[in-house]
Amino acid sequence: MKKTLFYCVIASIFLYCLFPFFWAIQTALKPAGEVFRLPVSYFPETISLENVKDVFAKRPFGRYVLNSLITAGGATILTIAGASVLAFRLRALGLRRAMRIQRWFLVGAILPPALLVIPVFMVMKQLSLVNNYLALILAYTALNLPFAVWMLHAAFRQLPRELDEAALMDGFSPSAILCRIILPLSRPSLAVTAVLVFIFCWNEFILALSLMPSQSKYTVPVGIALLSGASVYEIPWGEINAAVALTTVPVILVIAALQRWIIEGLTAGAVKG
Amino acid sequence: MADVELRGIRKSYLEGAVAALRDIHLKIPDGVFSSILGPSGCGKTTLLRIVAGLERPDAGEILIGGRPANHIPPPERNVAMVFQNYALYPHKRVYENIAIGLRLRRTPQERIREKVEGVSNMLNIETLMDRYPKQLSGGQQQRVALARALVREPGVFLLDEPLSNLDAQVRDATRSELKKLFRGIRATVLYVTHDQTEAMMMSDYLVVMDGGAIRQAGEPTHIYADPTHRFVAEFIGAHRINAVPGRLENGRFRSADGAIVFDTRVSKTSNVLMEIRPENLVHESQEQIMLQGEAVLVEPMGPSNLVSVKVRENELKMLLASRPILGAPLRFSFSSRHAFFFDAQSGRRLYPDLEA
Repeated sequence: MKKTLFYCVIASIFLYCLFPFFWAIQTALKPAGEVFRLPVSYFPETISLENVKDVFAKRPFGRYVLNSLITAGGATILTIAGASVLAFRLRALGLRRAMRIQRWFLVGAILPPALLVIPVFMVMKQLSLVNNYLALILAYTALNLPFAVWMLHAAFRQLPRELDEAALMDGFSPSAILCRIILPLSRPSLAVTAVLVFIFCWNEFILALSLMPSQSKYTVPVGIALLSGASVYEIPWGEINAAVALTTVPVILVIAALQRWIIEGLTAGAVKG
Repeated sequence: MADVELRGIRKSYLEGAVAALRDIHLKIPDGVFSSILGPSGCGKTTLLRIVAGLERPDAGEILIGGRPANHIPPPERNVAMVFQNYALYPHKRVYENIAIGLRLRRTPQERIREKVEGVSNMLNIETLMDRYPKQLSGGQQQRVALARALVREPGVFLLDEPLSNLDAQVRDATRSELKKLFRGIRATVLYVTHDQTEAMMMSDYLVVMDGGAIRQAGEPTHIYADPTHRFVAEFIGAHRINAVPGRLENGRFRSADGAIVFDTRVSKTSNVLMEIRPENLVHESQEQIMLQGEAVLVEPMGPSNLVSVKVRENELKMLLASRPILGAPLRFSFSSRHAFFFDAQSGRRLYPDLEA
């Protein structure tokens, strides 16, 4: 009885979360006429890939995906690399001092990205980086570093200090200790952090909109938001939903690729020495 | 192999608020197995870490093999350390764990193979080479950690409580093996432990530490027979030494409750603790000082029983082959030469007068 109730609750949460996806996918698969028909049909009567085709053929959607992959991917790599070094140094400081510093990191993480749009834009303008991939990569890295450092420091702390000391006595240099001992042992946490950073960058809108104003540099969220019909009165719902459905694909692929480590990272907190 | 000398080592933590080591002078000759013994927090591990180079002393000099080592980085100090929790690399196989130190020192591949094989045969772990540390038992992990130190053939071995994570049975076996092993290669060893049995049984040279200072150093049997400080007397010995508060006056000891009175050759006048080991209290009246009490507790230990005897206000423990009846009067005796006197204030030993 209790179990049934439990599963009912889980199922409703599941449905609640997945309904938007379901709606996007089914709308994407409807031909133009069916999208606006009333009463609403929950399952397309005729499945058509028209919208998907249009998104790529009539719009530079492929270009948007590429832009997103470059910025999100670049920012993820840069964030993880920077956060690894910072977290490693923090760990060496000992918990008390590390926490004192980390509190300030948290302040950085609290600021909403929208608040930073104008200052960041001005900086990038000064550096002549507007419309340059580097602008978004640097901005995303800065935004994600506090979170990533927090995650990785928590992960590195799980490893016994004697491990570093043993490595030091064996003749490892500090950078070798990080790359050959600490990082390989923190793979699950690295995977989780990387995925979360990647998803944040992939979905980010306001900075992408302002730092990359030319259409050839739109990222996927910007591109979707600015999809327009033949006139201001026509909203191409079918294409928008096709784009939305497609957008989730790379994220799902990334998660699938790192699944083993993500589960490890979420379940097993500690790696025993 | 190499000797180790420490001159005036000081170390404190939290900007001097906590003193970990106060003016440590110590000389461990080449090829000597020495133990650093003390309760937790006495600074023994800090001392080891300073020799290893994992920590810097605030003051003082470290000499390894006669060479000042203060500014030599750890991997070049000619020392190898075995950590309490072994600190094996979990993501590397046993072979790699042992070999990596040599690899980083650019030893030729062939030499590495030879040396790793030699060491693993010595420690009987040659069949475990392809396993990962977590697939090993505690005892096996410990051997791998030892192998990792041995393979480097350092001048000095530093061992930080290497047996404390093992089961009691494995520990006993490993203790004997370690002693044989290090004796066999005539290694200089600094062995940190809080277990006095371990320290007594294994070492040629024993250093007893308390509160960041060395209380006494010397041969284990000598320290057992002739402790210079109350702390040492109470810390060393399989069974805790009996302590009876009292007063020395005109060469005569009188316990605070007046029940134990005997003549001594210590002429100082002072409030003291008279301490005597349980193994020096004997049944019946074989020795000159006789006492009578009442058995209040019997702790059987197999070959003998640890018996607590109440003598007026003091409870003394003694070893008896037979099992006394609780509450029955018990006569026992001891010789005054086995009684140690320690100043009640300073804890220092009060010695018999020389000429007497």
